[in-house]
Amino acid sequence: MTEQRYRDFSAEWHGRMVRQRVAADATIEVTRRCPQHCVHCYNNLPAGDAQAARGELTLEEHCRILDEMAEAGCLWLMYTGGEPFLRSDFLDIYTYAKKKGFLITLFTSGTLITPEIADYLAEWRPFSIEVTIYGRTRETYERVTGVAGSYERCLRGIHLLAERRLPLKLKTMVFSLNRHELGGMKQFARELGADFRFDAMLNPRIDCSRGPLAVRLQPREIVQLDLDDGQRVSEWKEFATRFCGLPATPEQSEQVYSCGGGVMGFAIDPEGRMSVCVLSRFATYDLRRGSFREGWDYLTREVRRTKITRPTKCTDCGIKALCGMCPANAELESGDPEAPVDFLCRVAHLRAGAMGIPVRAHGACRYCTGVEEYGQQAVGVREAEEAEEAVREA
Amino acid sequence: MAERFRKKGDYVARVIAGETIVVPIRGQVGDLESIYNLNEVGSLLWELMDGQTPVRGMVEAVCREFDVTPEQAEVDTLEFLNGLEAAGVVEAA
Repeated sequence: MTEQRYRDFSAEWHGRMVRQRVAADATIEVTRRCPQHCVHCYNNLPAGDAQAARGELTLEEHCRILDEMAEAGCLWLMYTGGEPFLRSDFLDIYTYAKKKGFLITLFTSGTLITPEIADYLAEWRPFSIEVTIYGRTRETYERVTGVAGSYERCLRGIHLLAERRLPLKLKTMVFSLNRHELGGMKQFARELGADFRFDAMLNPRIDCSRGPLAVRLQPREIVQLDLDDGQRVSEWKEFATRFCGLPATPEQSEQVYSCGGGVMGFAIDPEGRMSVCVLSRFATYDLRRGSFREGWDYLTREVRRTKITRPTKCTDCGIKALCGMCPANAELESGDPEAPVDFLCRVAHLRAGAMGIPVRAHGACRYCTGVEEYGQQAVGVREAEEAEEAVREA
Repeated sequence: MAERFRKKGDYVARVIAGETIVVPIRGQVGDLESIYNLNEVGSLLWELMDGQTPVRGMVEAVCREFDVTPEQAEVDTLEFLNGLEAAGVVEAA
Protein backbone atom coordinates (compact mmCIF):
# COMPACT_ATOMS: atom_id res chain seq x y z
CA MET A 1 0.00 0.00 0.00
CA THR A 2 1.28 3.43 -0.89
CA GLU A 3 0.04 6.56 0.82
CA GLN A 4 0.43 9.55 -1.49
CA ARG A 5 -0.08 13.24 -0.97
CA TYR A 6 -3.16 14.19 -2.94
CA ARG A 7 -1.27 16.77 -4.99
CA ASP A 8 1.26 14.16 -6.13
CA PHE A 9 -1.44 11.62 -6.77
CA SER A 10 -3.45 14.07 -8.87
CA ALA A 11 -0.51 15.11 -11.04
CA GLU A 12 0.55 11.53 -11.65
CA TRP A 13 -2.93 10.22 -12.33
CA HIS A 14 -4.01 13.04 -14.59
CA GLY A 15 -1.04 12.25 -16.84
CA ARG A 16 -1.87 8.56 -16.81
CA MET A 17 -5.55 9.18 -17.56
CA VAL A 18 -4.71 11.34 -20.55
CA ARG A 19 -2.31 8.75 -21.97
CA GLN A 20 -4.85 5.96 -21.55
CA ARG A 21 -7.84 8.05 -22.63
CA VAL A 22 -9.73 7.31 -19.42
CA ALA A 23 -12.95 9.29 -18.97
CA ALA A 24 -11.67 10.55 -15.64
CA ASP A 25 -12.98 14.08 -15.27
CA ALA A 26 -16.73 14.75 -15.36
CA THR A 27 -18.95 17.80 -15.15
CA ILE A 28 -22.65 17.17 -14.64
CA GLU A 29 -25.22 19.94 -14.84
CA VAL A 30 -28.07 18.59 -12.75
CA THR A 31 -30.41 21.42 -13.73
CA ARG A 32 -30.34 24.71 -15.59
CA ARG A 33 -32.97 26.12 -13.28
CA CYS A 34 -31.85 28.66 -10.74
CA PRO A 35 -33.54 30.91 -8.17
CA GLN A 36 -31.41 33.82 -9.37
CA HIS A 37 -31.62 35.70 -12.64
CA CYS A 38 -28.00 36.76 -13.10
CA VAL A 39 -27.50 39.09 -16.03
CA HIS A 40 -24.25 37.48 -17.12
CA CYS A 41 -25.15 33.79 -16.85
CA TYR A 42 -24.77 31.56 -19.88
CA ASN A 43 -27.37 28.93 -19.08
CA ASN A 44 -29.78 29.76 -16.25
CA LEU A 45 -33.51 29.16 -16.52
CA PRO A 46 -36.25 30.26 -14.08
CA ALA A 47 -36.58 28.11 -10.96
CA GLY A 48 -40.21 27.42 -11.79
CA ASP A 49 -39.61 26.33 -15.39
CA ALA A 50 -41.76 23.19 -15.36
CA GLN A 51 -40.82 22.15 -18.88
CA ALA A 52 -37.13 22.27 -18.02
CA ALA A 53 -37.76 20.27 -14.85
CA ARG A 54 -39.66 17.59 -16.75
CA GLY A 55 -36.77 17.16 -19.15
CA GLU A 56 -34.12 16.64 -16.49
CA LEU A 57 -32.57 13.24 -15.83
CA THR A 58 -34.34 11.44 -12.99
CA LEU A 59 -32.57 10.18 -9.88
CA GLU A 60 -32.64 6.67 -11.32
CA GLU A 61 -31.11 7.87 -14.59
CA HIS A 62 -28.38 9.71 -12.69
CA CYS A 63 -27.58 6.56 -10.70
CA ARG A 64 -27.38 4.42 -13.83
CA ILE A 65 -25.03 6.90 -15.51
CA LEU A 66 -22.90 7.16 -12.35
CA ASP A 67 -22.60 3.36 -12.26
CA GLU A 68 -21.36 3.37 -15.84
CA MET A 69 -19.00 6.31 -15.25
CA ALA A 70 -17.45 4.57 -12.25
CA GLU A 71 -17.02 1.40 -14.28
CA ALA A 72 -15.24 3.42 -16.97
CA GLY A 73 -12.77 4.83 -14.44
CA CYS A 74 -14.15 8.30 -13.81
CA LEU A 75 -12.78 9.74 -10.57
CA TRP A 76 -13.25 13.51 -10.51
CA LEU A 77 -16.85 14.73 -10.67
CA MET A 78 -18.15 18.27 -10.59
CA TYR A 79 -21.82 19.01 -10.00
CA THR A 80 -23.03 22.35 -11.29
CA GLY A 81 -26.14 23.99 -12.72
CA GLY A 82 -28.17 26.18 -12.70
CA GLU A 83 -28.33 25.72 -8.96
CA PRO A 84 -27.86 22.05 -8.03
CA PHE A 85 -29.55 22.43 -4.65
CA LEU A 86 -32.75 23.56 -6.36
CA ARG A 87 -33.45 19.91 -7.06
CA SER A 88 -35.11 18.35 -4.04
CA ASP A 89 -33.36 15.05 -4.79
CA PHE A 90 -29.90 16.52 -5.32
CA LEU A 91 -28.52 15.17 -2.05
CA ASP A 92 -29.75 11.70 -3.08
CA ILE A 93 -27.83 12.01 -6.35
CA TYR A 94 -24.81 13.38 -4.51
CA THR A 95 -24.83 10.64 -1.87
CA TYR A 96 -25.07 7.95 -4.50
CA ALA A 97 -22.05 9.45 -6.23
CA LYS A 98 -20.16 9.68 -2.92
CA LYS A 99 -20.80 6.00 -2.23
CA LYS A 100 -19.40 5.15 -5.65
CA GLY A 101 -16.13 6.81 -4.65
CA PHE A 102 -16.07 9.89 -6.88
CA LEU A 103 -14.08 12.92 -5.72
CA ILE A 104 -16.84 15.51 -5.91
CA THR A 105 -16.67 19.26 -6.38
CA LEU A 106 -19.87 21.27 -5.94
CA PHE A 107 -20.56 24.58 -7.68
CA THR A 108 -23.34 26.54 -6.00
CA SER A 109 -24.63 30.04 -5.37
CA GLY A 110 -24.85 29.12 -1.68
CA THR A 111 -28.29 30.71 -1.42
CA LEU A 112 -30.13 27.45 -0.74
CA ILE A 113 -27.70 26.08 1.85
CA THR A 114 -29.54 25.40 5.13
CA PRO A 115 -28.08 24.22 8.45
CA GLU A 116 -29.39 20.75 7.62
CA ILE A 117 -27.69 20.67 4.22
CA ALA A 118 -24.46 22.01 5.70
CA ASP A 119 -24.57 19.33 8.41
CA TYR A 120 -25.13 16.68 5.78
CA LEU A 121 -22.19 17.91 3.72
CA ALA A 122 -20.05 17.91 6.83
CA GLU A 123 -20.86 14.21 7.21
CA TRP A 124 -20.52 13.39 3.51
CA ARG A 125 -17.73 15.78 2.72
CA PRO A 126 -17.24 16.98 -0.83
CA PHE A 127 -13.74 17.20 -2.22
CA SER A 128 -14.39 20.90 -2.69
CA ILE A 129 -17.35 23.29 -2.61
CA GLU A 130 -17.14 26.50 -4.62
CA VAL A 131 -19.55 29.36 -4.01
CA THR A 132 -19.87 32.13 -6.55
CA ILE A 133 -20.33 35.61 -5.14
CA TYR A 134 -21.26 38.59 -7.28
CA GLY A 135 -20.40 41.49 -5.03
CA ARG A 136 -19.50 42.56 -1.53
CA THR A 137 -22.59 44.71 -0.99
CA ARG A 138 -26.25 43.86 -1.15
CA GLU A 139 -26.82 46.55 -3.74
CA THR A 140 -24.30 45.17 -6.21
CA TYR A 141 -24.98 41.50 -5.58
CA GLU A 142 -28.72 41.88 -6.05
CA ARG A 143 -28.30 44.16 -9.04
CA VAL A 144 -26.59 41.16 -10.65
CA THR A 145 -28.96 38.44 -9.44
CA GLY A 146 -32.16 40.46 -9.69
CA VAL A 147 -33.49 38.81 -6.52
CA ALA A 148 -34.15 40.69 -3.30
CA GLY A 149 -32.72 38.96 -0.25
CA SER A 150 -30.30 36.82 -2.25
CA TYR A 151 -27.20 38.53 -0.83
CA GLU A 152 -28.12 37.67 2.74
CA ARG A 153 -28.95 34.10 1.74
CA CYS A 154 -25.61 33.76 -0.01
CA LEU A 155 -23.71 35.05 3.04
CA ARG A 156 -25.67 32.75 5.31
CA GLY A 157 -24.81 29.78 3.11
CA ILE A 158 -21.13 30.69 3.04
CA HIS A 159 -20.97 31.02 6.81
CA LEU A 160 -22.82 27.74 7.36
CA LEU A 161 -20.22 25.97 5.22
CA ALA A 162 -17.26 27.81 6.72
CA GLU A 163 -18.39 27.12 10.30
CA ARG A 164 -18.28 23.41 9.52
CA ARG A 165 -14.82 23.70 8.05
CA LEU A 166 -15.94 22.37 4.72
CA PRO A 167 -13.39 22.76 1.89
CA LEU A 168 -14.84 26.07 0.78
CA LYS A 169 -13.64 28.23 -2.08
CA LEU A 170 -15.09 31.52 -3.31
CA LYS A 171 -15.04 32.82 -6.84
CA THR A 172 -16.69 35.40 -9.03
CA MET A 173 -17.26 36.45 -12.58
CA VAL A 174 -16.16 40.05 -13.02
CA PHE A 175 -18.07 42.37 -15.29
CA SER A 176 -19.21 45.97 -15.50
CA LEU A 177 -21.70 45.73 -12.63
CA ASN A 178 -19.36 44.35 -9.97
CA ARG A 179 -15.73 45.02 -10.89
CA HIS A 180 -15.54 47.84 -8.35
CA GLU A 181 -16.09 45.30 -5.58
CA LEU A 182 -13.49 42.75 -6.71
CA GLY A 183 -11.10 43.87 -3.99
CA GLY A 184 -13.83 43.55 -1.36
CA MET A 185 -14.65 40.03 -2.52
CA LYS A 186 -10.98 39.02 -2.35
CA GLN A 187 -10.75 40.45 1.15
CA PHE A 188 -13.89 38.59 2.24
CA ALA A 189 -12.36 35.31 1.07
CA ARG A 190 -9.12 36.09 2.91
CA GLU A 191 -11.07 36.73 6.11
CA LEU A 192 -12.74 33.34 5.74
CA GLY A 193 -9.46 31.62 4.96
CA ALA A 194 -10.91 30.48 1.64
CA ASP A 195 -9.20 30.38 -1.74
CA PHE A 196 -10.52 32.94 -4.21
CA ARG A 197 -10.39 33.21 -7.98
CA PHE A 198 -12.10 35.29 -10.61
CA ASP A 199 -12.74 35.23 -14.32
CA ALA A 200 -13.85 38.02 -16.62
CA MET A 201 -14.32 36.09 -19.86
CA LEU A 202 -18.07 36.11 -20.35
CA ASN A 203 -19.49 34.32 -23.35
CA PRO A 204 -22.91 34.29 -25.02
CA ARG A 205 -25.61 32.03 -23.62
CA ILE A 206 -25.72 28.44 -24.78
CA ASP A 207 -28.53 29.29 -27.20
CA CYS A 208 -26.03 31.80 -28.68
CA SER A 209 -28.07 34.81 -27.51
CA ARG A 210 -25.78 37.67 -26.57
CA GLY A 211 -27.34 39.07 -23.40
CA PRO A 212 -24.29 38.51 -21.17
CA LEU A 213 -22.09 40.48 -23.55
CA ALA A 214 -23.87 43.69 -22.56
CA VAL A 215 -22.02 43.64 -19.25
CA ARG A 216 -18.73 42.12 -20.46
CA LEU A 217 -15.63 44.19 -19.80
CA GLN A 218 -13.54 45.53 -22.63
CA PRO A 219 -10.32 43.65 -23.45
CA ARG A 220 -8.16 46.40 -21.97
CA GLU A 221 -10.18 46.34 -18.75
CA ILE A 222 -9.79 42.57 -18.51
CA VAL A 223 -6.02 42.74 -18.92
CA GLN A 224 -5.88 45.57 -16.40
CA LEU A 225 -7.48 43.22 -13.84
CA ASP A 226 -4.53 40.91 -14.46
CA LEU A 227 -2.03 43.71 -14.08
CA ASP A 228 -3.59 44.81 -10.80
CA ASP A 229 -2.88 41.40 -9.32
CA GLY A 230 0.77 40.41 -9.09
CA GLN A 231 0.02 36.77 -8.42
CA ARG A 232 -2.15 36.62 -11.52
CA VAL A 233 0.65 38.10 -13.63
CA SER A 234 3.04 35.46 -12.34
CA GLU A 235 0.52 32.73 -13.09
CA TRP A 236 -0.07 33.96 -16.63
CA LYS A 237 3.64 34.13 -17.31
CA GLU A 238 4.16 30.62 -16.01
CA PHE A 239 1.18 29.44 -18.01
CA ALA A 240 2.57 31.06 -21.14
CA THR A 241 5.94 29.40 -20.60
CA ARG A 242 4.28 26.01 -20.40
CA PHE A 243 1.63 26.28 -23.07
CA CYS A 244 2.39 29.03 -25.57
CA GLY A 245 3.90 27.86 -28.83
CA LEU A 246 2.96 25.99 -31.94
CA PRO A 247 0.96 22.76 -31.68
CA ALA A 248 3.27 19.86 -30.89
CA THR A 249 2.52 17.78 -33.97
CA PRO A 250 1.06 18.35 -37.44
CA GLU A 251 -1.79 16.07 -36.44
CA GLN A 252 -2.64 18.25 -33.46
CA SER A 253 -2.53 21.38 -35.58
CA GLU A 254 -5.18 19.88 -37.84
CA GLN A 255 -7.58 19.13 -35.01
CA VAL A 256 -10.41 21.48 -34.09
CA TYR A 257 -10.07 20.62 -30.40
CA SER A 258 -6.88 21.23 -28.50
CA CYS A 259 -8.23 21.24 -24.93
CA GLY A 260 -8.74 18.43 -22.43
CA GLY A 261 -12.34 17.83 -23.52
CA GLY A 262 -12.76 14.37 -24.96
CA VAL A 263 -9.24 13.45 -23.82
CA MET A 264 -10.07 12.81 -20.19
CA GLY A 265 -12.86 15.33 -19.61
CA PHE A 266 -16.51 15.39 -20.57
CA ALA A 267 -19.79 17.03 -19.60
CA ILE A 268 -23.37 15.84 -19.21
CA ASP A 269 -26.21 18.33 -19.45
CA PRO A 270 -29.46 18.18 -17.44
CA GLU A 271 -31.20 16.15 -20.15
CA GLY A 272 -28.44 13.56 -20.38
CA ARG A 273 -26.58 14.82 -23.43
CA MET A 274 -22.87 14.11 -23.23
CA SER A 275 -20.36 16.49 -24.81
CA VAL A 276 -16.70 17.45 -24.56
CA CYS A 277 -17.53 20.38 -22.24
CA VAL A 278 -20.44 22.36 -20.83
CA LEU A 279 -20.17 25.04 -23.52
CA SER A 280 -19.83 22.82 -26.58
CA ARG A 281 -23.23 21.66 -27.78
CA PHE A 282 -22.84 21.01 -31.47
CA ALA A 283 -21.79 17.39 -31.04
CA THR A 284 -23.53 15.48 -28.27
CA TYR A 285 -24.39 11.91 -27.39
CA ASP A 286 -27.76 11.11 -25.80
CA LEU A 287 -27.15 8.97 -22.71
CA ARG A 288 -30.87 8.21 -22.58
CA ARG A 289 -30.49 6.27 -25.80
CA GLY A 290 -27.17 4.56 -25.23
CA SER A 291 -24.49 3.72 -22.72
CA PHE A 292 -21.83 5.92 -21.21
CA ARG A 293 -19.15 3.78 -22.85
CA GLU A 294 -20.69 4.41 -26.28
CA GLY A 295 -20.87 8.11 -25.52
CA TRP A 296 -17.21 8.26 -24.52
CA ASP A 297 -16.23 6.34 -27.66
CA TYR A 298 -18.17 8.87 -29.71
CA LEU A 299 -16.36 11.80 -28.10
CA THR A 300 -12.89 10.29 -28.35
CA ARG A 301 -13.16 8.66 -31.77
CA GLU A 302 -15.31 11.13 -33.65
CA VAL A 303 -15.74 14.52 -32.01
CA ARG A 304 -12.22 14.85 -30.69
CA ARG A 305 -10.74 13.88 -34.03
CA THR A 306 -12.73 16.47 -35.96
CA LYS A 307 -10.35 18.12 -38.39
CA ILE A 308 -10.28 21.79 -39.30
CA THR A 309 -11.87 22.65 -42.61
CA ARG A 310 -9.63 25.65 -43.29
CA PRO A 311 -6.63 27.40 -41.84
CA THR A 312 -7.36 30.55 -39.84
CA LYS A 313 -5.11 32.94 -37.99
CA CYS A 314 -5.73 30.76 -34.92
CA THR A 315 -4.25 27.68 -36.62
CA ASP A 316 -0.64 28.61 -36.03
CA CYS A 317 -1.15 31.22 -33.33
CA GLY A 318 1.40 30.76 -30.58
CA ILE A 319 -0.54 32.57 -27.84
CA LYS A 320 -3.81 30.67 -27.98
CA ALA A 321 -3.25 29.69 -24.38
CA LEU A 322 -3.67 33.34 -23.37
CA CYS A 323 -7.11 33.89 -24.82
CA GLY A 324 -9.41 31.01 -24.01
CA MET A 325 -10.25 30.56 -27.66
CA CYS A 326 -11.81 27.16 -28.20
CA PRO A 327 -14.36 25.64 -30.58
CA ALA A 328 -17.09 25.99 -27.95
CA ASN A 329 -16.45 29.71 -27.52
CA ALA A 330 -16.44 30.18 -31.27
CA GLU A 331 -19.69 28.24 -31.61
CA LEU A 332 -21.38 30.52 -29.11
CA GLU A 333 -20.00 33.71 -30.61
CA SER A 334 -20.60 32.97 -34.27
CA GLY A 335 -22.03 29.48 -34.70
CA ASP A 336 -18.78 28.39 -36.35
CA PRO A 337 -16.38 26.39 -34.14
CA GLU A 338 -13.41 27.38 -36.28
CA ALA A 339 -14.05 31.10 -36.64
CA PRO A 340 -11.63 33.33 -34.70
CA VAL A 341 -13.37 35.34 -31.99
CA ASP A 342 -12.25 38.92 -32.30
CA PHE A 343 -12.83 39.71 -28.64
CA LEU A 344 -10.62 36.83 -27.49
CA CYS A 345 -7.97 37.77 -30.02
CA ARG A 346 -7.78 41.27 -28.61
CA VAL A 347 -7.54 40.03 -25.03
CA ALA A 348 -4.74 37.60 -25.89
CA HIS A 349 -2.65 40.15 -27.75
CA LEU A 350 -3.14 42.79 -25.09
CA ARG A 351 -2.19 40.28 -22.42
CA ALA A 352 0.92 39.22 -24.31
CA GLY A 353 1.96 42.81 -24.92
CA ALA A 354 1.39 43.86 -21.33
CA MET A 355 3.32 40.93 -19.90
CA GLY A 356 6.16 40.91 -22.39
CA ILE A 357 5.23 37.56 -23.88
CA PRO A 358 6.55 37.27 -27.45
CA VAL A 359 4.01 37.02 -30.27
CA ARG A 360 5.09 35.55 -33.55
CA ALA A 361 3.25 36.76 -36.66
CA HIS A 362 0.52 34.34 -37.60
CA GLY A 363 -1.79 34.66 -40.58
CA ALA A 364 -3.74 37.81 -41.23
CA CYS A 365 -3.83 38.99 -37.63
CA ARG A 366 -4.22 42.72 -37.37
CA TYR A 367 -3.47 42.74 -33.66
CA CYS A 368 0.07 41.37 -33.92
CA THR A 369 1.56 44.57 -35.25
CA GLY A 370 0.27 46.64 -32.36
CA VAL A 371 1.39 44.41 -29.55
CA GLU A 372 4.34 46.58 -28.53
CA GLU A 373 2.20 49.57 -27.71
CA TYR A 374 0.63 47.62 -24.89
CA GLY A 375 4.04 46.74 -23.59
CA GLN A 376 3.99 50.07 -21.80
CA GLN A 377 1.63 48.47 -19.36
CA ALA A 378 4.50 46.19 -18.36
CA VAL A 379 5.46 49.00 -16.01
CA GLY A 380 2.25 48.15 -14.19
CA VAL A 381 3.25 44.49 -14.23
CA ARG A 382 6.57 45.18 -12.54
CA GLU A 383 4.91 47.29 -9.88
CA ALA A 384 2.39 44.55 -9.22
CA GLU A 385 5.11 41.93 -9.01
CA GLU A 386 7.13 44.05 -6.61
CA ALA A 387 4.06 44.54 -4.44
CA GLU A 388 3.44 40.79 -4.43
CA GLU A 389 7.07 40.15 -3.48
CA ALA A 390 6.79 42.63 -0.62
CA VAL A 391 3.70 40.85 0.69
CA ARG A 392 5.47 37.50 0.53
CA GLU A 393 8.47 38.84 2.38
CA ALA A 394 6.27 40.40 5.04
CA MET B 1 -3.33 -9.13 15.68
CA ALA B 2 -6.98 -9.85 15.00
CA GLU B 3 -8.00 -13.03 13.15
CA ARG B 4 -10.30 -11.32 10.70
CA PHE B 5 -10.71 -7.81 9.29
CA ARG B 6 -13.48 -5.86 7.64
CA LYS B 7 -13.53 -2.58 5.77
CA LYS B 8 -15.03 0.41 7.48
CA GLY B 9 -17.97 1.87 5.64
CA ASP B 10 -16.21 5.22 5.45
CA TYR B 11 -14.01 4.12 2.56
CA VAL B 12 -14.55 2.68 -0.88
CA ALA B 13 -12.04 1.16 -3.29
CA ARG B 14 -11.97 2.25 -6.92
CA VAL B 15 -10.28 0.25 -9.64
CA ILE B 16 -9.10 2.68 -12.30
CA ALA B 17 -6.85 1.93 -15.23
CA GLY B 18 -5.85 -1.35 -13.61
CA GLU B 19 -4.96 0.14 -10.24
CA THR B 20 -6.86 0.31 -6.99
CA ILE B 21 -7.21 3.41 -4.87
CA VAL B 22 -9.05 3.78 -1.57
CA VAL B 23 -11.22 6.89 -1.30
CA PRO B 24 -12.75 8.27 1.91
CA ILE B 25 -16.47 8.89 1.51
CA ARG B 26 -17.94 9.62 4.92
CA GLY B 27 -17.27 10.94 8.39
CA GLN B 28 -14.51 13.01 9.84
CA VAL B 29 -11.86 11.67 7.55
CA GLY B 30 -10.48 15.14 6.94
CA ASP B 31 -10.05 16.85 3.65
CA LEU B 32 -8.50 14.69 1.01
CA GLU B 33 -4.89 15.35 1.82
CA SER B 34 -3.70 11.84 1.12
CA ILE B 35 -4.92 8.87 -0.84
CA TYR B 36 -4.15 5.16 -0.61
CA ASN B 37 -2.91 3.44 -3.71
CA LEU B 38 -3.02 -0.37 -3.63
CA ASN B 39 -0.76 -2.63 -5.65
CA GLU B 40 -1.92 -6.01 -7.00
CA VAL B 41 -1.37 -7.79 -3.70
CA GLY B 42 -3.16 -4.99 -1.86
CA SER B 43 -6.08 -5.16 -4.27
CA LEU B 44 -6.46 -8.90 -3.66
CA LEU B 45 -6.29 -8.45 0.11
CA TRP B 46 -8.82 -5.64 -0.05
CA GLU B 47 -11.29 -8.03 -1.67
CA LEU B 48 -10.67 -10.58 1.07
CA MET B 49 -11.28 -8.17 3.95
CA ASP B 50 -14.89 -9.25 4.24
CA GLY B 51 -14.98 -9.99 7.95
CA GLN B 52 -15.09 -13.72 7.16
CA THR B 53 -11.75 -14.61 5.61
CA PRO B 54 -9.10 -15.27 8.29
CA VAL B 55 -5.67 -13.72 8.01
CA ARG B 56 -4.24 -17.17 7.33
CA GLY B 57 -6.62 -17.49 4.34
CA MET B 58 -5.40 -14.16 3.01
CA VAL B 59 -1.79 -15.31 3.22
CA GLU B 60 -2.69 -18.52 1.37
CA ALA B 61 -4.48 -16.53 -1.32
CA VAL B 62 -1.42 -14.35 -1.83
CA CYS B 63 0.74 -17.49 -2.19
CA ARG B 64 -1.66 -18.93 -4.77
CA GLU B 65 -1.89 -15.77 -6.87
CA PHE B 66 1.70 -14.53 -6.73
CA ASP B 67 5.14 -16.07 -7.01
CA VAL B 68 6.11 -15.58 -3.39
CA THR B 69 7.20 -17.73 -0.46
CA PRO B 70 4.71 -18.29 2.40
CA GLU B 71 7.05 -16.44 4.75
CA GLN B 72 7.20 -13.39 2.50
CA ALA B 73 3.43 -13.52 1.87
CA GLU B 74 2.79 -13.47 5.61
CA VAL B 75 5.13 -10.54 6.16
CA ASP B 76 3.53 -8.58 3.32
CA THR B 77 -0.02 -9.37 4.43
CA LEU B 78 0.55 -8.42 8.04
CA GLU B 79 2.32 -5.23 7.08
CA PHE B 80 -0.56 -4.29 4.79
CA LEU B 81 -3.23 -5.03 7.41
CA ASN B 82 -1.34 -3.14 10.10
CA GLY B 83 -1.01 -0.14 7.81
CA LEU B 84 -4.71 -0.02 6.97
CA GLU B 85 -5.74 -0.58 10.58
CA ALA B 86 -3.45 2.20 11.78
CA ALA B 87 -4.92 4.52 9.14
CA GLY B 88 -8.44 3.66 10.33
CA VAL B 89 -9.48 2.20 7.01
CA VAL B 90 -10.20 -1.33 8.31
CA GLU B 91 -11.07 -2.79 11.69
CA ALA B 92 -11.02 -6.15 13.45
CA ALA B 93 -14.12 -8.20 12.69
